[in-house]
Amino acid sequence: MPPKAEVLQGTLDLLVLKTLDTMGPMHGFGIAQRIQQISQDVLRLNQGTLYPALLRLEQRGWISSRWGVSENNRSAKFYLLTRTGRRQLREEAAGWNQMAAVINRVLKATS
Amino acid sequence: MTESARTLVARFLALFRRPSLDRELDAELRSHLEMAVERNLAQGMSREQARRQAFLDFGGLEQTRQTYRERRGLPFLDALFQDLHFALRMLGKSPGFTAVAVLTLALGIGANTAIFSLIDAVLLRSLPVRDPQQLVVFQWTAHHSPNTKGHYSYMSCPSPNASAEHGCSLSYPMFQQFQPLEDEFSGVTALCGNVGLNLRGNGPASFVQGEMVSGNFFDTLGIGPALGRTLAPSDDQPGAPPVAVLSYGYWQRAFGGDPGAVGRTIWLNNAAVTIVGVAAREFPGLDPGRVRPIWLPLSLSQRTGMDLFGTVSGDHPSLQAGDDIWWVYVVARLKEGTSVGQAQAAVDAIFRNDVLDQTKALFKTEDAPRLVLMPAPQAISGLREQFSTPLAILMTAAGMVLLVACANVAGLMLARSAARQRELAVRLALGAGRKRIAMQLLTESVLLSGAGGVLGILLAYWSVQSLVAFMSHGGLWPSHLAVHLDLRVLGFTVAASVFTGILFGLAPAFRGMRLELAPALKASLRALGTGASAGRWLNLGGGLVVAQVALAILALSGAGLLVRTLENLKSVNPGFDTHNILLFKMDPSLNGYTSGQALSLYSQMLQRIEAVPGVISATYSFDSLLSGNYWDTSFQIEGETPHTQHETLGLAAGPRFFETMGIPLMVGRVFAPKDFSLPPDSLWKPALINQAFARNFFKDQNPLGRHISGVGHQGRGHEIVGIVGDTKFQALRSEIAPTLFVPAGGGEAVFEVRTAVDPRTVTPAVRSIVTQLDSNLPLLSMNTQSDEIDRSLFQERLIARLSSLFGGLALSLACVGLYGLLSYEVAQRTREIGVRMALGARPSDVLRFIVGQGMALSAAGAILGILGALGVTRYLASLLYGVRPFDPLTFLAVALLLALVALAACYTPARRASRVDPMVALRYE
Repeated sequence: MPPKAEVLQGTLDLLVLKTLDTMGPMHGFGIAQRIQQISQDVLRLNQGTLYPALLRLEQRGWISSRWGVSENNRSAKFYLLTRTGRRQLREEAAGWNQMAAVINRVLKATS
Repeated sequence: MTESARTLVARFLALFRRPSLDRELDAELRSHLEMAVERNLAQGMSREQARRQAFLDFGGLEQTRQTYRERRGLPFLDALFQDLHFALRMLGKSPGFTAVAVLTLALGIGANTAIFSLIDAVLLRSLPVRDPQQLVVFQWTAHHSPNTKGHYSYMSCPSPNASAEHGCSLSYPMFQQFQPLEDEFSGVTALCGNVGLNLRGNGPASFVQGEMVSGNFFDTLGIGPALGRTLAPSDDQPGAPPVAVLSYGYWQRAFGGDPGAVGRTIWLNNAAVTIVGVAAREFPGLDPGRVRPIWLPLSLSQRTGMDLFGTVSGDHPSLQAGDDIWWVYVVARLKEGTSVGQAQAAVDAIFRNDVLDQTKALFKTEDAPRLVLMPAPQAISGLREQFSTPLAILMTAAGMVLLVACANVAGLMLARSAARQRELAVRLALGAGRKRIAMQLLTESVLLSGAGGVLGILLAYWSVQSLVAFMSHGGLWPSHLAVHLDLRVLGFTVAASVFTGILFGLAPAFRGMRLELAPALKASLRALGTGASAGRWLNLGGGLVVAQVALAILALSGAGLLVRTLENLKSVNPGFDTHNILLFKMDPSLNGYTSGQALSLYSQMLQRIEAVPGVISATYSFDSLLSGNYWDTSFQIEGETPHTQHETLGLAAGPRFFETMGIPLMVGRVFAPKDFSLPPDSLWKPALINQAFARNFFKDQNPLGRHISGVGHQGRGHEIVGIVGDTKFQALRSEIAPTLFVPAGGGEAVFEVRTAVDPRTVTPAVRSIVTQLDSNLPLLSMNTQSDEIDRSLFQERLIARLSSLFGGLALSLACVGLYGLLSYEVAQRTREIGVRMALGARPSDVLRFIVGQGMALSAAGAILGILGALGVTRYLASLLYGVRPFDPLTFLAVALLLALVALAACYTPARRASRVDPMVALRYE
């Protein structure tokens, strides 16, 4: 198994937005679970870093939060994507794809 | 809203709901961990393992909280809020310290701002005209006075150098020669002032002092009207209708600000004059220290036959007066681009040509007469002359209070810092950043100074109001002169005290940086009480207390001398009975009375006034005694060889003058009724002299029956018929001087009414007597003699009181400083004191030890202060009366006062020390 990659600065935001986009409203623990699951445990996420990221996204108005009850009847704070958040996700995803494509091309050309 | 703005708003709002947000975060994190534990349990871990794994996955919990908090609010503001909160708590924990520091700062700031604001209003404000720096005042200088028949000085005329004769009055013909100088000046204007005007046509007859100005006066100064128009050059032409312009203040006061005043006709000394306008509000007169109620064209008196100068002397100023009467004050505005030098060359040439003219012979060539152009802002002193010395003294005293206040706060801060050494060490040990601690201490100092500043502003505002009210009441402050709190000064004083606060407030932080943690913590109070750092503080703190005491002594010595001066002046015997005398003034000649008519009016008035119940006797004289006015005249003594000119003060006195005033007759006789009705050409009119006159001029000869001649303008002759007791004439301060009394004629007069009751009670009766005789005659300056004396001492009283206040303030602050120092020391040395007492020291020894230490500091301060006072009080010499600047008695009294107050300040801490229980003290940790 390759060593776990640290979540890149800035990519965490994208991951959170995408997760909320596909899964609908989720609490912090759920988001963390989901990111680790999807990345098949390749990404090593310090779960604690998620919360400042969530705060930052909320301050920018891309997600909003409300208190709710979890599947096992536990009170938790749920986050959901806002309209500007969705637009932001599209833009960031496009940017990311473009960047990834460019890097891919560069890597192929030199190898 | 952009994202960053939205973020900022969110962060800012979060500042205000920190506790609830903190709780929310905790709840969220708790729920996260619980869910993680649950999942781990579900995966088959033991409870212990599940918990461990959950925390591991999460990472640093406290770190998350910290990052989250930093991101949530604004870290800088957040820290500031925390610091403020903490500072408030710390200050609240020692209310005594806080109250003393804030009050001290407030007093320092308040007193200084108030005094400086007054100084600004009086000394620094510019002339109320357009471009004052373009205005010049014409001043002559020479080695000797000009050979004129009359020289009427009007406005201030500061000397260019001490040795030269100088003046600012010129003849009207000379002024006319300057007017055509259009290349040098854009306007040359003349004024002449203090013309007495009996005014009627606006309520009861009243008296105002007007200013005569040439027609271009307002245009040259650049003053517009507030209402109607100002004077124009055409108003000053032959045949122009008679007009006048009112000042804004007088219009408000006498006409109630009625716009209908413009266009109205009033009678000034029996001449009808139309009011054409009110001058701009900012313009009380060219000299802001002298308010002018009314301006008239210079040529008006000529055209209307208005008698402006009464019948006092023959050679009074008028447009017809020739080259040998100098009476107009000339002001000009330099033309744009002309230098003072160019203009001066032109006017000087004209002046010399004129005064050295053989036919006029006003000056000799060797007198080196010159005409100088003085910049108006320097020449026109306003209130400077009158106020600069007292205000400079008050400023110095207030400055000392500020210094003492700063030293005091510095001492307080230092004491506190030493006491907090341990707290800071603990906080450093717990991981607080040094920068953070410095910020925190800074916040505390600024908060303290800020509170002092705010209170200081309130205090300054209040003191300016009450000072101005007090001074206006005493007639010392011109009511039109508004005083504003001076923001620059306020800024300066607040900055000075904030700076002191910061400097000494940060001392513990600086010390904290160097602080070795372990020893400080271990040593705790024990080492601090006896150790090196406390020793250093005591030296510095002791130095501050010595400085405070020295400054306080300095301020008090000055105050003591001024207070003694006031006491001396109050107890001066002026040579007559000053109680129960009513004074008022009138000048019927302004209403056209001839001398004979006035005399008969006066004798009727005296008769009726003496019939009023409560009146003992009544008289009149040309001036009242102690009014500050005086007449001096030269004379010769008949039969004296060689024929020499003598100088004496003179007073024209009415019937029963000496009896009414209570001046004793020593020998001979006083004036008889017939002495007042002698024909004008009678050769030797009777005269009385005082004892000083007799001593000075007749030595051991008998003056009675001797003749003197050449008295006054007309050079009259008098026969001495009596000698009366000496009195002070001009003022309480003046020396007893030779005085000649002659029978009063029918000019202006001050009436003196001696009563058996409170003189004020007879004023209505006196007023109605005058109104019955002639309702057009105004009475001026109705007052009692004792009030008049009080008023003449007003300035002395003001500076004596204020300087004592400041001195007292400085002393109290110094003693607070002393008290603080000793209290701190006793608190820090409790253990040492305990040891000493355990070893056999008696409470009285401890008491003596602490008091001795306090008294030693005070003595050092007192010696320094008295040495300083010896160097400084001589600057007060011109203000003192009957006491020398190095008055040992005053210094002794001040030192004694200090000793008493200092003893009181030492006593409480010393008593506390002497009551230390050795057992408690030794366990005290």
